[in-house]
Amino acid sequence: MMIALGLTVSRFVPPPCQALRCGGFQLVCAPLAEAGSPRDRMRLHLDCARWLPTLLPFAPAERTGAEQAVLWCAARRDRIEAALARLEGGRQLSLAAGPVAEPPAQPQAAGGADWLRRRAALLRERAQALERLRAELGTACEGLAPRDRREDSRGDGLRLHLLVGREEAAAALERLRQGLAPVPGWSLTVSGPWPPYDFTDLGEVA
Amino acid sequence: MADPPLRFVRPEEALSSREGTLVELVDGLLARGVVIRGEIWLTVADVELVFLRLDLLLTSPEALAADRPFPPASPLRPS
Repeated sequence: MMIALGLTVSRFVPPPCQALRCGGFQLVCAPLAEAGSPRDRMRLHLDCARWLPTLLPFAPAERTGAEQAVLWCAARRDRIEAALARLEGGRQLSLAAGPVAEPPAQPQAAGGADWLRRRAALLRERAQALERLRAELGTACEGLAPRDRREDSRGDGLRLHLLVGREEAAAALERLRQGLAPVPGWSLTVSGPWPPYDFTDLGEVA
Repeated sequence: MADPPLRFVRPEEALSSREGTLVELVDGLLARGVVIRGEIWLTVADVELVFLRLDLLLTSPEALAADRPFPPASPLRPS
């Protein structure tokens, strides 16, 4: 069984991947033995991204057979071609920020109204802290001029994803290394270049 | 051990790490990308915990109505 990994315009893909022609683009797939787990598929994505200028990756968590993927692609060729053109040479840099420590335990509330008041104050504080963090990251990313950016806040943390050109990724990381300073109270992890996982929307509504 | 205040990691490093923050970072990306059928394995540290299969209907209500095999019932009229 072959597992679908993503789409590209290049005809030559690194082994053990293979390319199946699918209209004006190629479906990248790999044998199940090599692409059995989500992390196997992500590893193959990274291998492909080293060789292929453009890769529209399928979600690594999803295991889809190549036959099914071919049918799926045939039904939406125009959208896929548009997405491949939009992502041409695109790579993703991700900035993940999480609070360094758990917030200090609150003293026992005097009653329901007091508990609600404290909770509202805590939420307000968190929102302000996130806003300050967003501003810090925004300043650090100012000179990068990414082609696109996405933000994803989860819980107390924040993730910022930047779409940059394949050729510019190393320089963009270096620039972040120079310009990004630690933000008090936050732990920041900058990673990349990744395949453009957060920029793959095809304009479909579920 | 506390996370460092600022660090840069390569994707390969994050992928092979067992450290909580990096595992979480990779897990956050695993569900991103093009989703064909909504077959999702929820994983933590590469252990598949939950499997969900969601068949999505990607269409507009108008297109759905046009594709229906039977026309909508017409109101009853007196004969």
